[in-house]
Amino acid sequence: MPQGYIRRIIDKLLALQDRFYPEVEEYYRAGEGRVALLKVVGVDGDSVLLKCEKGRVRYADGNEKPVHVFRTSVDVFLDLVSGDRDLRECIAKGSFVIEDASTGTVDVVELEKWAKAFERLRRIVTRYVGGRR
Amino acid sequence: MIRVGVVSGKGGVGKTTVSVSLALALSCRGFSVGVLDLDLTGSNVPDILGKLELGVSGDDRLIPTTSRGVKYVSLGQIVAEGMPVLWDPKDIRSAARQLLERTDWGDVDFLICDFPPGFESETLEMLPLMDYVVVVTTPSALSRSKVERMVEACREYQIPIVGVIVNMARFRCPRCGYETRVFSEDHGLVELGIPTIAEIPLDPRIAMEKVVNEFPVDAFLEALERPVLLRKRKSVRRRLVEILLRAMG
Repeated sequence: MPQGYIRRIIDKLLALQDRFYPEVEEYYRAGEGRVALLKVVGVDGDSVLLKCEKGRVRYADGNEKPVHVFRTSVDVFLDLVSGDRDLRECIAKGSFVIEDASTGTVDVVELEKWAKAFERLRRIVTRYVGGRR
Repeated sequence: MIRVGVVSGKGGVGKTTVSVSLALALSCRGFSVGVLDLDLTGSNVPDILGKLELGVSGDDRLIPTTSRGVKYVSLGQIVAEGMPVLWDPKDIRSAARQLLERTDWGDVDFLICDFPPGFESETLEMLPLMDYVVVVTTPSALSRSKVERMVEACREYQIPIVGVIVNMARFRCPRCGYETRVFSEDHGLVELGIPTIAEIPLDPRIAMEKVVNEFPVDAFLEALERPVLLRKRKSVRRRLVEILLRAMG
């Protein structure tokens, strides 16, 4: 694991997580058994692989097997979360891809599921947050 | 389920119009019909049948949209309208197969598959999976030469060819109704052994309803019984007979 800038920031964030959210294990028990992986890549190429398990973010060792892989850029992801971009548009342009990890190709059913989810998110964000920015 | 591919070597000859017309006409005859839009980068089926949202079942399968009694699935229903599909060819091929295999088609008798023009990734992936193909062409020499390549591909894959539908065969004057052949008289593929199922005129006033009402379903069903093929597929013929007997009550 590289010991660069990204790693130092994430070390601090993980420490904060344990300090401020001791109750999170109980809160996320419903999602037990599910593992989400996130690869954070810094501008200098430094990368850190994280997993979210039982409601807590930890370093992943790379042996976890995700069912689906989401491929996108930070800019696109932030725009999607903030409601500034439409996921169906990003899907068309290939800037947001959901791959079936076993085949390494796009998964159309997951695309439709996430497109619906992001449409709902976008409506909520636009209604409650968009007007205040 | 009998899979019928609507193919052509050339774009703009009316594959989607023929696909949807065939599906609607079969539906009017009491068959359960689905339309699969395999032109992933240039989908047009939602433009005709309506861009309605797809459903997703609990077991992770797409639920087709139903319009005018016909079920249909298109990538155009998943991506934003008017956006180009800028996907890797391997993703296109995979998505095409998923739209067929991961859709809950239910008890569909005929699945009409609208292919892209030429030999795109989707065509190469999906053509071998068809039970029959219908070839669409216009009377122009350019279209005809490209259609001949498609016919050769179907022969190579040993897919039964039902026949050829000649679109824009004649121009029908909107004022007097007089019909004129715009291109050459000889536009069929008879010398290749492919029978002509129908000729659809080019009519500026033509509406989808009219095309559907006049669609030669009987000629299509008859042609299904005696497709052009080098080697017969007995399993497909048995399924076809079952569907036809069921439709006849």
